[in-house]
Amino acid sequence: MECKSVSSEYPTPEGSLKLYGEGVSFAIEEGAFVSVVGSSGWGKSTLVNLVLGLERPVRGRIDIRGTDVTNQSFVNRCSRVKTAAVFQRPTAVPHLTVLENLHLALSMFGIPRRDREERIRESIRFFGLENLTHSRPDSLSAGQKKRIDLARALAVRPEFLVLDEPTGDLDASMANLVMPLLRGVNKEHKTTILMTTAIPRHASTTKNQVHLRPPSFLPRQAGVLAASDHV
Amino acid sequence: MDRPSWAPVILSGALPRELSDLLAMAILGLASIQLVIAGPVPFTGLNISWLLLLLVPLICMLAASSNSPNREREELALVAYGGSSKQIELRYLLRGGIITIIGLVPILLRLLSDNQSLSTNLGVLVLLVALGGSTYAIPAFRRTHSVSFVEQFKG
Repeated sequence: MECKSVSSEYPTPEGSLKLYGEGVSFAIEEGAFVSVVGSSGWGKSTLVNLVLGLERPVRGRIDIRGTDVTNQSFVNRCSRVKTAAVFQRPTAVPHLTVLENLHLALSMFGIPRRDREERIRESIRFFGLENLTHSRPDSLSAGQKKRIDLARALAVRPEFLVLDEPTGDLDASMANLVMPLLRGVNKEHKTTILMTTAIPRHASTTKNQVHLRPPSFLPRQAGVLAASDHV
Repeated sequence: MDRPSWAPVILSGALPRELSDLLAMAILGLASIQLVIAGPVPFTGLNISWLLLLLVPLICMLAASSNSPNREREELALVAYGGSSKQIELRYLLRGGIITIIGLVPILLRLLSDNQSLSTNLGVLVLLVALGGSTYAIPAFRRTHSVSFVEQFKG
């Protein structure tokens, strides 16, 4: 996966926020473990959305296995490279139990039922979710929801794993377990991992790091109308 | 390699299951019963079916717009799991169609008892089901295509 001079902008009432300066460029080799480091508001989550195809960059291009996928959706990119994502905000279907959510997520990748059960059992055991399998997501804490997201993403056994602050919301003991687990997944299954973090200690455990620059603010010029302005 | 499938996203949400769906089916059912009772054969012309042509999209839109926050969370989860907005819209299109068919059961039964009127009114029935399905999918289409949708993945 390669990002070439990718940049993004956010409109604000006073102007726009320009992320990544003149553009962020990096390449991730297959089987690499890369962390994206930056403070809050520097565009880590936006970079995750750009890499996954959930947002389009203002400038630059994104290649996967040598093909330009800048304008391709997440689903199309998934069909190219089996990708699983864990977002900063926990995501689960509210009316399904934890177990049903995991089954649904894995069935979307076409994983046969017998394999699904084995993988889910393994993931549930690792993340200590045995007592929560029949709970609905609304009844769980933020940390428990994050563990479910991680369990789901790892049970998929993706080729490319994208994690937005995976240790956020987790207590210290679980966070300390997750980092070695990710390194293990990367090493044993040769899973390519892109992880954002604001914690330098976690970033330092990965071989490669992308350091983001602080965003710059472009004030709206007097007399110049923005695209969203109505005349 | 495992092959991604559309079926789980679509089938997991194609059947009506919320209270608003049940209410929509009940209202359409009552309107259908009224039409069956009021006329010898429904759909004899637009003077009878215009009510359904108005009622079906309005009721389906209303049912689909209720409980939006929960539906949006569900849609976010499906996208996070690797689903697409097209798959989500298709599941709602099917659900709206099923709601319409169930709501029109009294009329369907009345038409089945008169073979000739079923064939002559098939076009209107198909139009009503398509109308119900597409209007049911509109709120999800608007949500998943809005700029703020993917912003919600960020903390």
